[in-house]
Amino acid sequence: MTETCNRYYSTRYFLSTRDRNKQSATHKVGIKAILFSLFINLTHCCNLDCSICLVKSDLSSRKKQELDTRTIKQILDEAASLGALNVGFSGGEPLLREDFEDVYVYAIKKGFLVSIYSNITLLTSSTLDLFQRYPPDRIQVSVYGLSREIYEKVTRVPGSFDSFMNNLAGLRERRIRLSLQFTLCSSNEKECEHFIHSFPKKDYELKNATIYLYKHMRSDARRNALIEQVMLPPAKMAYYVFKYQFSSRMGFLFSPSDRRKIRGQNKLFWRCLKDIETLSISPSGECCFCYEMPVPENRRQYKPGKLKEIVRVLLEEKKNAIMPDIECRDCPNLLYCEWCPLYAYVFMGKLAPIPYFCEVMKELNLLGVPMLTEEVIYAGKEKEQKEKV
Amino acid sequence: MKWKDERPIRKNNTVLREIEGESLLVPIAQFDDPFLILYTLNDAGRFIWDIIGTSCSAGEIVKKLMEQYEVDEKCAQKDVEMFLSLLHDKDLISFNKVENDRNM
Repeated sequence: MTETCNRYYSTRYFLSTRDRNKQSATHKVGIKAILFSLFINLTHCCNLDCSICLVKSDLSSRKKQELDTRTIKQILDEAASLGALNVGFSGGEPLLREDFEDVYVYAIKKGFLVSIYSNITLLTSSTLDLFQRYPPDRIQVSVYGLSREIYEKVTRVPGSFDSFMNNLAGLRERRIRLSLQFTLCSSNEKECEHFIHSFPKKDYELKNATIYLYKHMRSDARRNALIEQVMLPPAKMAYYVFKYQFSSRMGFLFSPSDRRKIRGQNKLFWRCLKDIETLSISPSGECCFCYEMPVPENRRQYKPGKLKEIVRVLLEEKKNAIMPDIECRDCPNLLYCEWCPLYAYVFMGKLAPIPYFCEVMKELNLLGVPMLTEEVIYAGKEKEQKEKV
Repeated sequence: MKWKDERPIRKNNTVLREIEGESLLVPIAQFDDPFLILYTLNDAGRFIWDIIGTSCSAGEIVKKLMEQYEVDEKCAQKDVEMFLSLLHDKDLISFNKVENDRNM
């Protein structure tokens, strides 16, 4: 028998299905491509004026700072040739772009699994129909409240709640996969628990909450003051983090073996686990491996035809980057804390501890979250081994 | 053999991606299963998928599969039938009578 013949007989499953009942879509196919996924911030601007967000609602000068349609398509072409399977369109509000539908359909027809991050208030019947015809992999919908009063207190745009609810219904009618993301702040705190426990959800939808209002625009004092007003006090934040494990890092609390695995990464500059394979591109074309704003040390300007080289350089730099000698480096809470270089720049304008995060961690310690001393890291190891045996 | 004189036709509801040697069918239209992400094809599946794009009948696909993989006719017929049936059930292909096409 020839080799091809053997292969033919050894794998009789000509067609296999990958679905959401098995792990995440992305860590799925087991492909080791150069670039796994892409996150494109299409615009800096938003149609809403949320008290909790740094994004500008001034639309006047935005087009000058944004990549044009042709360049975005070229980026998609290059990313596809590097093996990227997922692309996320975010902003600001991506639906603000006049060419959104054009770019979206281009990405779909290119064979990307497309996710959209949106407040959905700008959806039109034409966009809804487009999503029905060419469904996105998922739309992550920002939820600011469940009543008109609270929702519009946060968004500060009259009529936005009705648009949100109507479009949510429109998306659900069309069976579009949604991920509902509640953004928790002092204005909508009362509705958060209701959202978590009783807000209806289809079995193929996800719902979660974002806790930290990290989008803190340093250059805008008015915006900073607004954000500070609605941030939850550290003790309350700790309560939500502890009760609902909203924090992406809280999983480590409950798994000693995970703590041990990640321990060595304490000294690494980048220790984010979820976005390590996602290249983020800002509205003006700055590339970095982080899903939000680029950090100065680790970004490159996109040039046509150079995406592969940019990815190579950034990955190399990321692999070797060591966390600078700041207080956080040896903090026994670092594994649980949301501190990262991005947040440090956003909150503090430099690589430095973020006092608000320190306060939250102290409160968490009071609630019983252990600091990660050697004893804690290795606690339970013997028991685990015995159980294994 | 079922569909022997029929020609399978790909529907325009997926895009074929080849990433690092893996063949993926990425859905671009809405499917009944809301949990579906994508399909993967193995070597033989990809071989047949490519032939489907060239207006061959199911019978011709069997012959090409026999040549490519050195399998006997009975086995190839069974596998092609099984695979086409699966693709049809998943709404990835439809069938046309070969005679009808030739008369046109």
